Amino acid sequence: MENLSLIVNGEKIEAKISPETTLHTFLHDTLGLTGSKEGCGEGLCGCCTVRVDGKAVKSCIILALQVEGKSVQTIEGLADGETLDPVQEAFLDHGAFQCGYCTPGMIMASKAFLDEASKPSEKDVRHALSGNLCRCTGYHKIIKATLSVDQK
Amino acid sequence: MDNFKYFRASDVKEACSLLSRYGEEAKILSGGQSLVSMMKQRFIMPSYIIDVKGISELDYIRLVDDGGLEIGAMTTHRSLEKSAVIRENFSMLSNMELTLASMAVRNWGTVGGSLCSADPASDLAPSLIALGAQVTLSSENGERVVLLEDFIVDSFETILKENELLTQIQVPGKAALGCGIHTKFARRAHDLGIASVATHLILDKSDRDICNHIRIVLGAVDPFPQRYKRAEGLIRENKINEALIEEAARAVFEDCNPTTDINGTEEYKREIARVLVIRTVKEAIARARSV
Amino acid sequence: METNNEYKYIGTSERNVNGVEKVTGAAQYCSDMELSRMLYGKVKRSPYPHARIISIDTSKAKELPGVKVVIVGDEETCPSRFGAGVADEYVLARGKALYVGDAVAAVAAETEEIAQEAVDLIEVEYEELTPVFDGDEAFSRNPPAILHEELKSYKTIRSVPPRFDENRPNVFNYFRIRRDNTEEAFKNADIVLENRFEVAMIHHVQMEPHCGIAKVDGTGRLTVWGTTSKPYGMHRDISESRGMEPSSVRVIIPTHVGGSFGGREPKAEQIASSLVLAQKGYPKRPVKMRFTREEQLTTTTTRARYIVEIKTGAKKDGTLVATKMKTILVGGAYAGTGYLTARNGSFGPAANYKTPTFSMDAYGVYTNQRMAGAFRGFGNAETLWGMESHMDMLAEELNIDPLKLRLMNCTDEGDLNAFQEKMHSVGAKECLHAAARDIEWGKKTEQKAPHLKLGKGIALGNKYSIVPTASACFVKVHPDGLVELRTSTVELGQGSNTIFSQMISEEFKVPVSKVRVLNPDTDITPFDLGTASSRSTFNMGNAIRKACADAKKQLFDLAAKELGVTEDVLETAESRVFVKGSPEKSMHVSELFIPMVIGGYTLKEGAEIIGKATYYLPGVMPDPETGASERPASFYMFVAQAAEVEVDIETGKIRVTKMVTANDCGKAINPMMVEGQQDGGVLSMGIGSALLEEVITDNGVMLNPQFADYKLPTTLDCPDCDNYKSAIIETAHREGPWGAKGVGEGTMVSSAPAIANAIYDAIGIRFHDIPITPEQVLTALKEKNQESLG
Repeated sequence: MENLSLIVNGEKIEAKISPETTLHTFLHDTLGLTGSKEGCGEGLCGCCTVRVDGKAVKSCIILALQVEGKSVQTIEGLADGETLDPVQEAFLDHGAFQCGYCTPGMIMASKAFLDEASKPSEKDVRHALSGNLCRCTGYHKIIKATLSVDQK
Repeated sequence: MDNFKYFRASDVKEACSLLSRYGEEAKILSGGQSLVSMMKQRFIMPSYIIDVKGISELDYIRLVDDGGLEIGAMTTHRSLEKSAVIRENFSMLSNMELTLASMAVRNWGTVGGSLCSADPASDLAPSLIALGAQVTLSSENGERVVLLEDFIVDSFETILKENELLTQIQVPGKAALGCGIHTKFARRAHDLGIASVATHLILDKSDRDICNHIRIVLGAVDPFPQRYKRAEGLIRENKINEALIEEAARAVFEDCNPTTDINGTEEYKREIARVLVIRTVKEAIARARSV
Repeated sequence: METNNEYKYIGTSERNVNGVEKVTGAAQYCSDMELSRMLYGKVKRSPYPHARIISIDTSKAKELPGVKVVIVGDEETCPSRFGAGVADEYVLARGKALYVGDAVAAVAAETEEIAQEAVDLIEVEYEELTPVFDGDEAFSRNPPAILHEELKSYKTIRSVPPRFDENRPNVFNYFRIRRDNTEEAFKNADIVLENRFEVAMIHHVQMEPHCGIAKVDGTGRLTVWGTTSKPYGMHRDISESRGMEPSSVRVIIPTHVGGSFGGREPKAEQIASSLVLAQKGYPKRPVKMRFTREEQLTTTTTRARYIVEIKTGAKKDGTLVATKMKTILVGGAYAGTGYLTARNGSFGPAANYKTPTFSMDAYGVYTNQRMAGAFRGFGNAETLWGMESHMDMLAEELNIDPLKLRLMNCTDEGDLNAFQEKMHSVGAKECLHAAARDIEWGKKTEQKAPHLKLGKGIALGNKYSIVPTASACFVKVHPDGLVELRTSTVELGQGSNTIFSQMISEEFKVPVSKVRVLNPDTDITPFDLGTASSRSTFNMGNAIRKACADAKKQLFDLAAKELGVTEDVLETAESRVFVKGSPEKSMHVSELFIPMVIGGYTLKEGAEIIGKATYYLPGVMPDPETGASERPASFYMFVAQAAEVEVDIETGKIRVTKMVTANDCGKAINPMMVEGQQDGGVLSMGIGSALLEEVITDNGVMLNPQFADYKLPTTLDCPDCDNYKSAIIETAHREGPWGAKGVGEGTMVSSAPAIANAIYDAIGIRFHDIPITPEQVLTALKEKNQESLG
């Protein structure tokens, strides 16, 4: 067992984990943050996307020990209390989800991208979300929702 | 995943020391975007993991006096993609990065890790080889610098010794004088390519129909990324015209060694390689002439 | 979309009522559930496509620390076969393994890792048998392998029984239509055209892999949670396969299911149940069986390969006079709901065009692969792939514009289809006009470069919805005015909870926030046939309206007494009951209840204000010889789609540059939800099935069981937002709730032929099979060039 100390959704976490624990397993099983999902286990579908120090990453192919000392944000940490993030509101307004399984990962990827981008084009958004698979929506409303977020 | 002992190295010295001790049964973990997946599927089962991702002293992109680049091995693909220095001087790398995997994978995966995992369909290696890149391999015994084109020797195999760590990539200044184009052909835009080509060339200053220097590197159609010297020679030694480019592409068609698999037959891959060579060479020439 | 909306809640794009939980990560799915002292299950699977199971040695597995249960397919664990139409499947294979991945044993242990290790320690001795994979071979009178020797002795479902074939031992269903005399008509036709088309196997790839959790409580009662779209179907499968009384099983939906698309056969839930029930003594530990993505892709049901043979006869002016078809659904080792797909895939061709003579022979056959059949479109995307590609070829022969040919022949209100059913609510023409308008049919897009060829194609389709059908629900009015719906329709992402809330809002004139939809739970929510066949809006919608009427009657009976009026003058809105025309004579719903001393509120009699209703539509079973029926389906949704493609003639790469869809769904209860269905149907499954997706196998083994090689469309594989258009055509149905029908499956039944027709327009090459890959295109182009040179 190894020590792990990190910040998750603004909260300091200390844990003892076995080294082969992925970040996804740590978040989903150990901490019970079930928002991000296992969709393939190989980093190909994006359902497990969370943010580490603001950047979108595929948590199922990252060892938890690698985020020692870093700040992780999951979907559960996006809203500010009762106030939803503009990306979440945009997804609601546009109906940019259906079954919802890919949605946490999709929103985290969208949010991470928007925080780094300035006045992105549709092409930029499609490139940013190419690693997040969705079977229900065909991405159409997801792209529109992401583009609609007012970046101040 | 099987059990393993985990070490975290905070600097190069520590990493090399750990490698000297455990190198034989250890795997170096940087971004792990290839390695972790393979470990989960039990294709690779190391007894020791030496995590070098935190070695921040290896995370840099520097423009060197002669116009070349020094890139630390822990630089992420995303840093490469977003670097203004690279966009201005080596746009082939920026454009290539845009097609590599996905944003999230690029955020965590490192260029050093990518080169060392030596996937035959890698996009990074062919581009860097086309630029004439070299890599620095460090160990407790010192450093050695080798050409990247000599570094990868087979599918998923490099000449990296068990006690060595790849610490830096260098791109020579000369490369900045030329134009490079990378392209890949895949069923979907960000897939690993069925065939990929990186072409880099420098036209003669006075006669723009002469190419003094050219590298044509293919990915995915051989066990490891390689230069196509016969094709390069044809272009270097003759006046450039449509027929010459076709001839060079035909040489690639004949010389490459793709295998038939679920992504396509060997004949198809050859043909795609040929078409991509024509397209990249034409585009590189057009670009070079417009500068 | 142009609509004159006279309702307050119906026809509005209300936000998804489950939206907040989905965008905040609070939504719970089966794989997120953890129960106390839960065990984790793993499956031992056959590596052979066809093999006799000689022996299974589980001793080493049982000895592994942490292993609690090991089961094999035997009389005790799997006493009875089960199946949607023909009971051909055991929970774990007994005696024979019939596909690579067939479940032969299972383990429950403290962790998934231990369970997997134990599975690897189970030793199975097999005797390999000759398998059959090819559809034509499996169909033959003398196939290389017979999967179910005792097929004739299996139980079959009474309501829509499958029909076997005396001479063809692998046929698990046969259905025929004979409208008048096609042979005569062919003789008198000006032109006769015949073609064969095929469709590759593809997977639904629901984003949530299949998962089941089973638990037995202190009284011995089994509760199952799962990723199912049909709680009562699973209910029947689980109880029938064990000889249990149906009432002893409880099925609960774990709030949310990550997609279905027709593909949730209850294998994970079945095996989890067996692992719990096999435990001796009390208390039994619950078991979670979570399939990996690879397990989902390799072992769960797919869309079947299909062989479609079509022959049409037409007059010179384009009038169709005869259509003759033979279709084979190349199914798996167990028929599953695919038994019905084989039959109902014939409905699309039967209803698309007015053909005075029509002949159909539709078969489903067993092969040694995993179950195949039910998929969005239920056979109709496959059969229409053939018909709509063929129509374009006919158009070319006749020298008639493909759009015009379709407009001439498509069915319309009052026309007889091949079942000799008088069609009602047919939006075919409107859909075609809308699609043609949005793709700018007839206008050529400028070519960007000499090696990039552009072309446009159009296709018409339709999807029926099943009969016999039944949906029941309860509607309860709470003392505080909240209206609660108890329904077994599963919210799979399609938005059923939201549109049902809108329906109740419209009936009770309360905002959607004052409506609650309970989670499906067979102890609480009454029977529904299943969230399938695009049937929920129509069927459950009608049940909801009836149950609301029943609830309102009880409400008004109570209020009438209090207000001193008769029930017929009462109305309700905003949780108040009032006299029509005199709103000051009113009372709040809460006033009908008496607050009791210890707590709570009660009615004086009748327990609760709870309306109940069943909407039952038996339809008319088609005549077994002619298929004739005046109501073989509840309704038809029509669709027209058009595509523009760009073909790179040097690499064969195909890009869908524009795609449009027009869907006739009757009244759109929630236009945003309808658009969502259109978007996903076209951009994911439509494009995917035409160009990218294929389950590639070798000797029954799937070669591409992960997302790198099973190619789902990504954001970069779809047309840009401006180049994709969807139109909602509201052709009202007289029996639909507010005129609504459905939309889910109609969204992709014409996508592949629209794309293939566009490819033909671009490069003059006709493809008979999907997916159409760049290599196939390049090879065909080179052959064509050689032909024209030579």
